[in-house]
Amino acid sequence: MMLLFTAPILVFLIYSFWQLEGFEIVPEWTLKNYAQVARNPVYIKLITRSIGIGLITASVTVVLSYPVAYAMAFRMKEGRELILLLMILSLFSSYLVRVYAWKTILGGNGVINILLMNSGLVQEPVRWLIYSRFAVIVTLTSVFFPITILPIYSVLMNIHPNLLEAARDLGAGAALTFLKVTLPLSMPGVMAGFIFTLVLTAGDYITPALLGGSNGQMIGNSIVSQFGIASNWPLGAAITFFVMAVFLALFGVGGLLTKRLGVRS
Amino acid sequence: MHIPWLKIYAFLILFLLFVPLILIVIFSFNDNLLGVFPLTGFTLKWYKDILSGKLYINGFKHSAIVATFSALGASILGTLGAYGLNRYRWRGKGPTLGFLTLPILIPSLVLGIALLSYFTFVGIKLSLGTVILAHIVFSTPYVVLIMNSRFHNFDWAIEEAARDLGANALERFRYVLFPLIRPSMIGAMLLVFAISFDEFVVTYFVIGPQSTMPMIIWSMLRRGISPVLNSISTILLILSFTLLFIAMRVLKVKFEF
Repeated sequence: MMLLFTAPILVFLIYSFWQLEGFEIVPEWTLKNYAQVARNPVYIKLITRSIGIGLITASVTVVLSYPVAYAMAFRMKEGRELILLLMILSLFSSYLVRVYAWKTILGGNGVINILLMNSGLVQEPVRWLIYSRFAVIVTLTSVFFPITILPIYSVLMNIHPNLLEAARDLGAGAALTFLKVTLPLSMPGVMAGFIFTLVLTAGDYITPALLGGSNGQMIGNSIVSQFGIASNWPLGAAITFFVMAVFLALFGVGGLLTKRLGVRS
Repeated sequence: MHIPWLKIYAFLILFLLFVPLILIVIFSFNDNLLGVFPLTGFTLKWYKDILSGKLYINGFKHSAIVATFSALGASILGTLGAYGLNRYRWRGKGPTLGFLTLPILIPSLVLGIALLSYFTFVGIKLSLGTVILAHIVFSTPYVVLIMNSRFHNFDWAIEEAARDLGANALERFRYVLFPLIRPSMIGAMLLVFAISFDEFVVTYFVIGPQSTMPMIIWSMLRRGISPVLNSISTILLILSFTLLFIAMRVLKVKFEF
């Protein structure tokens, strides 16, 4: 089992240091692939765009899902199980089907455009709804929504009611209690949801390929094309590890920053 | 009067989350070549189209084959793994569990191309077989997690009692252990089946000439929208929802945190 999983990653890592001559992969050790990634502005642009889209999606998702998780944890007794069930159902429904569903909604003669035109608000279909970064962000947000709700809900449920009561007894109003007690205590769940969504969206290639158009392509797409049309596996492998290294570095910096801020406050 | 804004918001968001899927189901019965609004009449045409297309039938067949073998393979490997983790007290149990569940955290894209380069490196030809292997790799961790929670509170005295009564290893498994863990194993298998049937990202890289259903959907999506996609999607949705429901029943999921 361990072999089944570790070996592929190792082989893949080795590939990233080999090079392509003609159409053959030659086992000669080189750092050329990595240099090519770091020097090519196209890759750097795609990587920053992917991280940008990931950051926007993760922020939107967390902001939208926090109130839902809060409502589930503190305002509902019965509805809770139903919502959790629906979240898990949504997680298990085919990813491609969900992307396709958004295509029928955002498309040129999709649901939104037809509604807009029938109501006379616009004369011709709104073009930026599909094949754009907007389409990618909307679709990814809806796809990863359940993934952020679950960790936030779970930390909120674990906040001891006594803490909230204590805050109230000490004279804090609802808003102050939320800001000083509930929100800080739920930050681990928020961070977990945020990071999950960021990593999964920035590395996605399905949604950008189907809904992104030319402006919405992300780094995942160029990795995939190195393994498809371009057929430059070593370069593809190098891009992949480069991106993963960038992510690790980002998380390292992020972790340090939050620690600093934590000490100060 | 106190208006429960938060609750309204929660249900509104949920509604928005499911609107796309509900629309797909509605469109799948809509007699309209574009596969979208306006609703022009009820039809089962798009479902008949699936039955008449050899491509679609084969797609479902291949997906079913892959999902069945992946579910079997992953549940056997995962159960053995969880059994080994819990049967004896040993150091390094925590790290091993962490390592066994690591593939969950690797992005599917990375896992897919890593497996592709590995299969090519070793010289295995791509086929449904490589897809099954790949699916076993990423779904075994789920089985390990489910079975680990089953074995966690397992009363090992039962197995020892059977041994004292003279049962050999095979008999102990057949008559004592297996009946006790069967519900969890079935639940885990159903989950793996559901995940594997719909899986696309990893499959895309390691598949040979035969297409599974998600591969067919992908190529249809690249070509444009066809109303048959609606009926195919509806069937896939019903399939995964049913499997998930049964699995949660069997596993007695209670949603407690």
